[in-house]
Amino acid sequence: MMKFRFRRQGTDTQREKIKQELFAFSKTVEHGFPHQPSALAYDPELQLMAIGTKAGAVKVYGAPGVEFTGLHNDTTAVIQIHFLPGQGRLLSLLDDNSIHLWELTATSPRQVGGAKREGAVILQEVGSYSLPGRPGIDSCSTTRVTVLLLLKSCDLLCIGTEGGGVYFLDLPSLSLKASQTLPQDQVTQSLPEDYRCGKSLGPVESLQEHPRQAGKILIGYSRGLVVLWDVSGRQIEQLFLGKQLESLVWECSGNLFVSSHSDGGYSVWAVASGDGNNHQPVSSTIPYGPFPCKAINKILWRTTETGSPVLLYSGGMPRASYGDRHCLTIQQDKDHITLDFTSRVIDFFTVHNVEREKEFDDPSALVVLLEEELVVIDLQTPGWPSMPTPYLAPLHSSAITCSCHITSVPPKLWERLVNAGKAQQGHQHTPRSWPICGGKNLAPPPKQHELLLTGHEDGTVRFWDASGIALTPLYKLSTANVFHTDCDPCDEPQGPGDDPDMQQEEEWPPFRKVGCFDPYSDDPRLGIQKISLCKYSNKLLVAGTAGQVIVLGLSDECSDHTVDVSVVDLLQDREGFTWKGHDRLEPRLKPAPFPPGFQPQVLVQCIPPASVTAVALHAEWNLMAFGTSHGFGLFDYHRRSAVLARCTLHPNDSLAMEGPLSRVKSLKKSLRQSFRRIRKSRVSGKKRTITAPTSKVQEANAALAEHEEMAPIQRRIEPRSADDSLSGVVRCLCFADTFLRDGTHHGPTLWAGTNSGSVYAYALEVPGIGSTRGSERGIAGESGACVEAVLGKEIQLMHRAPVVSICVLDGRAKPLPDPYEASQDLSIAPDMSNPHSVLIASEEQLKVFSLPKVSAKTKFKLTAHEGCRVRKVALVVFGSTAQEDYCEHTLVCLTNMGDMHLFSVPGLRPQVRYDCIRKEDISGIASCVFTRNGQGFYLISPSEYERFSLSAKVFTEPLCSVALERLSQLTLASDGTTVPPQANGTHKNQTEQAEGRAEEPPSSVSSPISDTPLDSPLSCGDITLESTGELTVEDVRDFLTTVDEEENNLKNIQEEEGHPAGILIN
Amino acid sequence: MNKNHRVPSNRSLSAVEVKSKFGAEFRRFSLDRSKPGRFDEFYGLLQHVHRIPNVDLLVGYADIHGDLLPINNDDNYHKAISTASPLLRLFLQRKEEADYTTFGTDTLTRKKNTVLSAVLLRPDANRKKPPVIISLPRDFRPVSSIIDVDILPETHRRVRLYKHGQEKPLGFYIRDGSSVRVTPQGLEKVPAIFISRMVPGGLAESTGLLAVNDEVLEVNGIEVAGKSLDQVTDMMIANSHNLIITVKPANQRNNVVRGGGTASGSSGRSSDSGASYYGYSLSAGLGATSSAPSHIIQNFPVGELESDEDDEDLVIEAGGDADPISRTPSNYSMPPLPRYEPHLNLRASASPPPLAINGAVLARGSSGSLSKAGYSTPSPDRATRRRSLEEDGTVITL
Repeated sequence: MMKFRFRRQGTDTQREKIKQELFAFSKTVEHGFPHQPSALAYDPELQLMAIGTKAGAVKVYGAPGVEFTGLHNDTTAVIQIHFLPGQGRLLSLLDDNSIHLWELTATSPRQVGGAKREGAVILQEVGSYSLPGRPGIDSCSTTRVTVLLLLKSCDLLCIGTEGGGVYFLDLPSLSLKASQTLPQDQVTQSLPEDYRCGKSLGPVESLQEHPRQAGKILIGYSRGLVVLWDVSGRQIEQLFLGKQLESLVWECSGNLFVSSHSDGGYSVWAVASGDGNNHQPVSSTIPYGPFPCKAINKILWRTTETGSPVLLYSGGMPRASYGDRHCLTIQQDKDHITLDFTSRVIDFFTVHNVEREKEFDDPSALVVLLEEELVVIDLQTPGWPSMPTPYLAPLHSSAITCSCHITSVPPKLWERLVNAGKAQQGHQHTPRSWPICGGKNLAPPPKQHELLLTGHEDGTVRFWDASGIALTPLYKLSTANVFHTDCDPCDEPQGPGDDPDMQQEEEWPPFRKVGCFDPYSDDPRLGIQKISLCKYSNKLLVAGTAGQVIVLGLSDECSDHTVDVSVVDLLQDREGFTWKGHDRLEPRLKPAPFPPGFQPQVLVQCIPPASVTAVALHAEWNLMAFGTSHGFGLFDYHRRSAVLARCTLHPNDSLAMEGPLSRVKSLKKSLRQSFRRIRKSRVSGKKRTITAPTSKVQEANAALAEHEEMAPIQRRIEPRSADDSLSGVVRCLCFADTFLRDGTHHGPTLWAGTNSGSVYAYALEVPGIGSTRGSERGIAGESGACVEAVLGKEIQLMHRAPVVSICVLDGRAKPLPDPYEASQDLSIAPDMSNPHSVLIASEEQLKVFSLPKVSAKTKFKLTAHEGCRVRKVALVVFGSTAQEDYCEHTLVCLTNMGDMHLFSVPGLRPQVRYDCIRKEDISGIASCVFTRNGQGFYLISPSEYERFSLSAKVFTEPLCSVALERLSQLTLASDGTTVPPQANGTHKNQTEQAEGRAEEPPSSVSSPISDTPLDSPLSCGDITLESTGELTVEDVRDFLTTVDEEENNLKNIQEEEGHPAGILIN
Repeated sequence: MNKNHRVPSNRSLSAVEVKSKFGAEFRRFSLDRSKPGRFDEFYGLLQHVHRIPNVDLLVGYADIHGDLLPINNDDNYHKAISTASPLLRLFLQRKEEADYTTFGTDTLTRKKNTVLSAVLLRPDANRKKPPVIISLPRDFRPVSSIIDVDILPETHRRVRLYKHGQEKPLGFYIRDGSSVRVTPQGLEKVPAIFISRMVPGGLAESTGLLAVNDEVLEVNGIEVAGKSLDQVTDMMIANSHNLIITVKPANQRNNVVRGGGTASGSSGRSSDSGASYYGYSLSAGLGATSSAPSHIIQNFPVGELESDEDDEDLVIEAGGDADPISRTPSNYSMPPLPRYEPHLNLRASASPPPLAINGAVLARGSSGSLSKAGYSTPSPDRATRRRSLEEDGTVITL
C-alpha cells in the first residue's frame, strides 16, 4: 500500500515513463490455420510455402517458427500466388483482377516501450498492376485474369485471360509489354477450319513453360485447344486438339505433357518436333469411369528414378456415387490411393528435385491445402503415410468451445505431457522430417513452457505448445469415453488398418481418410465449457455442456478402471421448475481402458444438466467448485463427497429452467437485428474496384440502407432487475485463503458471483487446513472429518450487473498465489498480516472491497463513463523493461467494444487503453484468454488464434530471416530511393541485361528445371544455400566455381536487387 | 368559535380566516398570516378546536384553484396560509377512514365548480383533464428535476430522473438517428441518439420532461457523440439509479427563458440552491411543489444526490440482518404507489397552447401571474413574459 501511494504521488511524467516501460500493445502472431484459404504456392529454392486467403492475407511459412504475413489493402480474395523462385518475392492475383508484387524486406530495429526489438524480415507489398479493360465494351470479363505463368527467368509474367488473350508483363517493374500480347484471333487463324467453326476458344485455362526450352510456353484454352507458343519468336510451334480442358502439366523432360479434362479424364500428349497439328493424344484415360465423372481440376506428373512416374490429381470421382467427396488420387504403377478429405481441396504441390542435373523429379512429399487444414503425404515411404505438420494445426478440427492458458509449466509435467502425446500418435506418422524448411528462426528459444488448452465440441481437450511462434499439438484428451454415447467411444485410437469400413471400401476407389478436421460432433452435450489445470499437482478439471464435471489425474500407465460418479442437485427442492433441456449424459459404469495421460477419476453431474458456466479447482484442499445457470456446488473429490449445493435461481426466473433451446429463441430477435446491422455495414462499407456497371447496384444498396433507417432499432432503458432472465447463472467461482468472518482468523473460502450481481462468500472448514476453529470442535483431527461450508457473506451489487470475476488480494494488494505455490515456496507467501481485500469485477464496474467488513474501498464505473461493458478481466503481472525486478499487478479488462483497459490495483486507476478486437467480432471477444504475464489469445476465425501482447517486456513474435543474399542488400535498395536519377539509369541497364538473359538459347544446360510455382514447384529437401546463387541464370556457362567468380555473381545479384527500388520511385 | 371575525375582503390585514370542516361540523377561527407558526402547533390547534384530541387527522385545504391539497408539514402549511385569499377552507378527515383519492387536481373544482377557478384560471379544465391522483403525502420525494439551467444553452435541457427504489419503470426507449449540425462547412448530418418511445405510466413520461424525438446529448455528463446506440444504452442503464440526461427537446417552444440572457447568475436563487441545483423540482405529489416561488423543494440533502447509488451494495452477514454498506438505507419500504395517470398529453394534442397545460400541472399553487404568463397568446411581448416569470421566480421549462 505504501509503495502504491508513493507511486501515485510521483509526477505525471514519471508515471508516464513507468507506464511506457510496462505496457505496450502489439498483435504478435497468428496461430493456427488460416481461415478460408484460397491459394497456395511453393518456392523450391527457398523452401517457402505461401498461402493466400479470401480475406486478402498472404502468409509465408518456412521452417517451424519462420512465418511472414502480409495483408492486401483490399480484403479481396487471393486467387493465385506465385513465387519468384529464390528472390524472396511473390506475386498475388486478387479477385478484383489486380496483380500484386510482394517482397520480404528486412526492417531496422525498432523501439517498443523502451525496449529495443530486433529488426525482422517482414513481407511488404511493393507494387501492383491491373490489366486495363478495353474501353467501350464490357471489358471486365475479357481481361479478367484466369492464369498466371512466371517464366523461369523471372523477368516475364504471362497472363492468361477470360477472353482468351495472353498478355506479357515485365518483371519486376510490372509493366505491360504490349507488343508481345497474343490475342486469341491470332491463334484462331492458324486453326484448321473444322475446329474453328466460328466459336471462341474460351478462356485460357493453363499456361506452362517448357521445362527444358526457355521461352516456349504451352497455352491451354478452355475448349480444349493446346498451343505450344514460342514467346520470343512469336509463333505457334504446335497445336493439340483435345477435350474440354482443366489443367496441363509437363513431364520434366519436355517430351510429354499431360492434360486433365472436365469429363474426369486425363490425356498424355507427345511433343514431337516437326509436325504442326496433333489431334490424338498418346493415351487417354478416365480413371474412375465408365460412369460420368467429375472434372480433374489439376494434375501433376512426376517422374521417379526407381520406376514409373507418380501421377497425382484432384477430383475425377464418379459423379453419382462419390461426387460429393473431396479427393486426391496418388497413382504409381499398381499403387493407387484415393485420399478422402473432409474439406475441399484448394491446391496442392509436390516437393521434389529441382536441380537441373537430376533427370527425375523424385517427389519426396505431397502438400495438399484443404479448406480447413494442410495435409502432407510422405511420398518416399511405402504406403504414402501422412506427416504431422509442425504448424498450421487445424485448431478447429472440432469447434473450439473454450480455452485456457497455463504459464511456466513445470518441466516435469511438460515432459509427461509430451510423452503421452507421442504415445498417442506414435503409429500414425512417418519418421521423416518436415520438408518445408526455408528461412531461419532467430527468435530466442522460449524461456519457459507455455500451454494452451482448448476445449472442443466433441468433448476433447487439446494441449498445445504455446511457448513459441508455432502452436504445435502436444496431447489430446478425450472425455467421451467416460460416457455411453451413440457411437462406440472405443473406436478412437484405432489404426487405419483395422477399421472395418476401410476394408469394405477396399475395392474401388481405394479411399483413405486423411486429415483430422471433423466438423460433426457426435453429441453436442460432450462439448467442453470450462477447463482448469493445477500445474503443480497435475490435476485437471474439465466441465461440459451437459453439466458434467470431470476431475482427471495424470498417469504414465494405461489404466482400466471405473470412474466414480456423483450427482449433485443444484435445485435444492425448489418448486415449480421443470428442466426442458437435454438429458444428462449416461455415465459408463463398467471399467474402461484409459491410455496414458490424463485419466478421469471422478465425474460429478449437475442436476438439472445445464451447461457448466464456471469452475474452480483447489488441488491443495482437494476441492472443486462448479456453477451452472441454476446454482453452484462444492465437491470434495478426495473423499468423493458433495459439500455444498446452492441454488441461485430467482423465483421469477422461468427462462433458466427451460433449457438451452428456448434461450436461443429469446435471443433470436436481437441476433437478427445485429445481423441486419452487420449486413448493412457490409453493404455500405464494401469497396468495389471494378466499378463501371455497379453504380446502380450501389444506389440500390444505399436506398436499401436508407430504407432500413426508417425502422430504426430501439433500446429500452431500464435498470437491471432481480428477476431478469438467467439472473441465477453463476459467472465466476474462486477459492481463497482469506479473512471472511473476522480480521484475525483466515481460512479457506469460496466465492461465487452470479449474473444478477450477487456474490456469495462461504467459509470452508477443510480438515487440517486453515485456522484452528475446526480442531476446537474436535472434528478436524479425525480421519473421517469432512469439509464443511458455511455461508459467510452475501453481497448484492446494487447495479445488478453480472459478476465477471472475483479475486482476493492479500495485505500487499497482490493476488493470492495459486494452490501449492506458497506451500512449495514457488512464490512469495501472501501477506496475511495486513487486511485483505476482494476485487469484484462486474460487467459495469470494478470495485475493491475491504475484508472482512466488505466495505467499498475503490471503484471504477466503466460503463457509466465509457458506455462499454466488461467482458473479460485478468490480473496480470507486468514487468518493466527498464528495471529487471520491477513489476506491477495490473487489472486487464476486455470490453464488449473490443478494447483493452488497464487499471492499477487496488487503486483502479485507468492506465492505458488499447483497441484490440473489432466490436462486431463477438466470438473473438468471447474467446479471449490472458496469460499471467501480459499476453493473450483470441480467435480471429474458427481456426486461428491471434496472439497479442500488452506487455513491453514479454511478447512472442516471429523473428526470422530468410538466408538469401538479396535480403542483406535490401537496405541498400531502399537507400537507393533517395537518388532517383542514378537508380533510374541503373535500372534501364539492368532491364536490358535481363532481357538478354531471357533470350539466351533455351538449350542451355544451366537453366533450372522448374515448373511454374503454382503447378509444380520442384525442389528437394536438402537444397543448399549455395544453390540460391543459381537463380541468376547467366553465370553457369562454365564451371566457374572459383572465388572470383562467386564474387562476381554476388555483385550481379546485388545490382539486380537494385531494381525494385529504382522502379518504385519512378 | 368565531371569535376573531374580520372583514373577509380585506387582504391587507395580517389575519387569515380559517373555516375548518370535520365531518358535518364547522369551526371558524383565524391565524396571523405573518406568524403562522409550525405545522404541529397548527395540528394541535385543529384537534383542540374540534375537540377531537386523540383522533389522527388528515388535513386538507382548498387552494385557489379549487383543488384539495394536503397539509402535513411546515412547507405546505405555510403555503396554505400564504395563499389563502382570504378564507382558508380546511377539510379534516380521520386518518383511518381517509380517502386519499380526494386529493388532487380538479378534486374540488369538479364538485364545486367555483367561479373563480373555472372562469379565471382553468377555462377548459373540466372539458379536457382527467383527474390526477396524488399519492400519500409521506411518499413525496423528487422524481425528476431540471438542473443546470444556468449553464446550459437555452435549447438544451438537463433532466434528472430519480429512480430511488421505486417500482415504476424508467419507461423510455432510445434509437439511432441522424441530426443536423451547423458547422463552418455548412449543414452536416451526424449520427445521433433520440428518445424513440415513452412507456405509458413510466417515470420518464410522468415527469413530462422528456419526449419522443428529443435528441440525447449527454448521459451523466458524458457526451454521447460518437457512441453507438448500444453504448448509450449501457451508459444509461449503468446510471439508471440516478440518471441525468441532457437533451435537445424536439419541441423547442417550451424552452427555459432566462432573464438576464447571460449564461449564469441570472438570479439570486442559483446561489442559495447551489449552481447545479438551480432549478425546479417536480414531485409526484403536487402539494409538495406548491410552494413559494423561491422555494426549492429538496426532500433530502444535496449531498445525498451526489452520493453514489452503488455504495448501497447490500451485504448480508450470515445469519444476520441486511446491513447496507453505506450510511443511507436504500431499501426503505414503500407502499405501492397509486397509478399515476398520464396527464401531460400536450405533446400529443395540438389544440391547447402546450405551455398552458404543463404550466397548470407544474405550477399549480404558484401565483396567478405565472399562470397568466402561461396563458398569454403565443406571440406576446417576450419581455413582458420574461418579466412576469422573473417576478414569479418559477422557472417553467415545459
